[in-house]
Amino acid sequence: MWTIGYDDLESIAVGAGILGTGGGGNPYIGKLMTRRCLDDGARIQVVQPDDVPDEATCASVGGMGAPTVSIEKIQRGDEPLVALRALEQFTGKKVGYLVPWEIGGTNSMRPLVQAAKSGLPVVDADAMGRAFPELQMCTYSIYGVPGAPAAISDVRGDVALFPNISTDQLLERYARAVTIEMGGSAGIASPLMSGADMKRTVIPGTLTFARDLGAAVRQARETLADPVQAVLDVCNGQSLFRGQDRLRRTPCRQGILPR
Amino acid sequence: MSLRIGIDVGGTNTDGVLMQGGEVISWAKHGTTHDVTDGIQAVLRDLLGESIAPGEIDSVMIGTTHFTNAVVQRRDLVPTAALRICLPAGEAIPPLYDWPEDMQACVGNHRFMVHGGHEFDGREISALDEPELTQVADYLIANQIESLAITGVFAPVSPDHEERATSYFLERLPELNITESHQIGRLSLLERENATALNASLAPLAKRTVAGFKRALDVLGISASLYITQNDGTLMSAEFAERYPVLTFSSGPTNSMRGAAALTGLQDGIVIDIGGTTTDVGMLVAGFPREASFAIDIGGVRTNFRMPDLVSIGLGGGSIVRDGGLRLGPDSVGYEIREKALVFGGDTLVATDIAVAGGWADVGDPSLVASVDEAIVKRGRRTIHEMISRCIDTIRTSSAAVPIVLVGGGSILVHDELAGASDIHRPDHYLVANAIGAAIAQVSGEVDQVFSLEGTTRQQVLLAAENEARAKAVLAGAREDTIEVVEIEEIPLPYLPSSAIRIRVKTVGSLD
Repeated sequence: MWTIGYDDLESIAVGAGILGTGGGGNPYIGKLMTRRCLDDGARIQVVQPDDVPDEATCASVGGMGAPTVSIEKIQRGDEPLVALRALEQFTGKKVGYLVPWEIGGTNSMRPLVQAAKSGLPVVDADAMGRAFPELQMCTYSIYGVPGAPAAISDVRGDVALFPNISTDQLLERYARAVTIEMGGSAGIASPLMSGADMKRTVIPGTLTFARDLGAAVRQARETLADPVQAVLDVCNGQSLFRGQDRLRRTPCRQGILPR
Repeated sequence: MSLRIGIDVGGTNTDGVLMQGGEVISWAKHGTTHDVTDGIQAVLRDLLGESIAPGEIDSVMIGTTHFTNAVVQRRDLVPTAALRICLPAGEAIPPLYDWPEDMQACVGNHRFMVHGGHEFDGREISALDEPELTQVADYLIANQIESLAITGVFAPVSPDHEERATSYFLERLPELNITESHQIGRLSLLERENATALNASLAPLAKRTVAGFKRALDVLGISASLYITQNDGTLMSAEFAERYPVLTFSSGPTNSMRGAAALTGLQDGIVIDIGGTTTDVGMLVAGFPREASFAIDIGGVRTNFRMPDLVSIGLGGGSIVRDGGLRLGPDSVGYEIREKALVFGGDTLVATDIAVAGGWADVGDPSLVASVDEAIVKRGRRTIHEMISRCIDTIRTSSAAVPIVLVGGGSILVHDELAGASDIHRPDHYLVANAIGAAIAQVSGEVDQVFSLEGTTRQQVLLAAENEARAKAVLAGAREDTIEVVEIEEIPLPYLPSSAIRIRVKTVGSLD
């Protein structure tokens, strides 16, 4: 178990940016949101998946929407938590642990803000290990934990609840449609699961991994060492080639920027 | 052919050129004075000389880093209130939250969030709340705050709430300096808000400075039109610059790259501008600097201006040489080079001494560096070229060798053999490339608007936007047959169910 401090936060932001591998949005805004919570005296506790009892209730929280909207319409901050409370009310269950669903990009930070605002601990894990565009691509879905019931909430505190959706593909489509009407960005809580299911499906240790990755890169930059080598060292990786990105196009299809 | 004067008011020097068409008639260099006026007057006097009457000058273009320096050095900024129209969105990060502490201290802690703002599609997030504006106005009066920055969510899509707030404040406080974010920048709220606040806090300095420019012209009886150059290398009127000083933030490097393009006729290549302390390396694409695609930091504050993509390192003519030539800079003797460098009789070994000792530069007295160890000269030369080659590698987009233009007083440091260069240009007047860039600057017309595609086609909408941008350039003084479209940007609005696109078109044209 560890507690996230200012320095950890800077490292997680850098690490999550790398794990986003070009997608997931810039963690910068999420970092500022989290830093602001720390300014207010909040404590964010990180627990290991194995520390969570099998019978505990866990929920994944994050943001949904286009990065182009979220850089302009800054969140109120607690949208995913409002969605979570609605989900608790509907299911009659009390959530004891928050789990990130996407460690890459800006969604790495959203659970931290919710943890700060609710006092709930965050599990050191996620369901992607990087950034993916759609709900059904996460490990919960792949290993059979259904996304519904799910809830999403906007800046006004309005909530849309999806009690029962047959597939996660459809949940993604319906949730996206609602997100558009909510102004292009929303907070989401899904799935709700037991501690046992969480441990069975998550990719463990990714929050700590993001922190260590970021810390190594920051250290390399400060000492003018090679940051790429620092990443390779932390990941036990190998450099295949080095090159330069000459042209990048980001067309927009079906209301979402591909990653 | 008409005569025009280009002036670059830098932190250390004020440079000027007198040009007729593409030809440099004369140039001048003086120290920048605190009030800027005296330095400009001295330059203007030199340029006019005995033979040119003030009435013969058609236009004067001034490029200045004065406002950038004010921010970087935290001087002449006034207390400024930052008002964000956003609630219930936006609360998670208050205005100016990520500013360095000393910058926050300059503008003070006067931050407000009120209801209002828009969604990406122009819907209101909530209605603008007049009683909340009243509270802000009361606060401004009670605390005697004279500058206000107003930023609304999605104001670049719909400026309505910003404009309504402005009219409300001006009714109660007619003397208030207000900057609206939709006039300043693009989407990305925090960066636009930062730039808006910087602009508002520079308002009094901008008035004084532009008045100083005008006074310098008046004293010498020059009645020519006065223009100020902006970040993208085009001109704005003095009146516009007075209201939007932040638009000059990177005009220095832009002017020197535009000047380098004009002096060599090169449209594509790399420009290396070496001064006394720093080197800026940028890329010319179709005669204009390639723009940076990431957030630009001004004095520790994140902004999202369109700025040239530059690689800057601490290497210049005055860079101090250490470790037997293995290390140069980043510290420099700066403008004291004429006292401190060995070649000028001083006692500090600087980069210029290496170039003179090695025999590829000719300034000062070479006999004064005759005793410098040959090994140090060799290592120093290698270090200089490695530093610059690294910049070239970072800025270029392919491994093919590229033409390189060297400008600035420190460009004598570079030996003719430079890795990555297809050929090296050292144009005449390389010392005043920035003033030349100002003198040749063009006027622009810009359209930035959301268009609906209902009942029309993308081609028709693009054509309409282009025609409007052309008309705006003519309005700004451009000759019709010189107008070119330099930029078309289509921004699809993600998530929008109906088909709409945001189009930005920029045209540029020559004044004569």
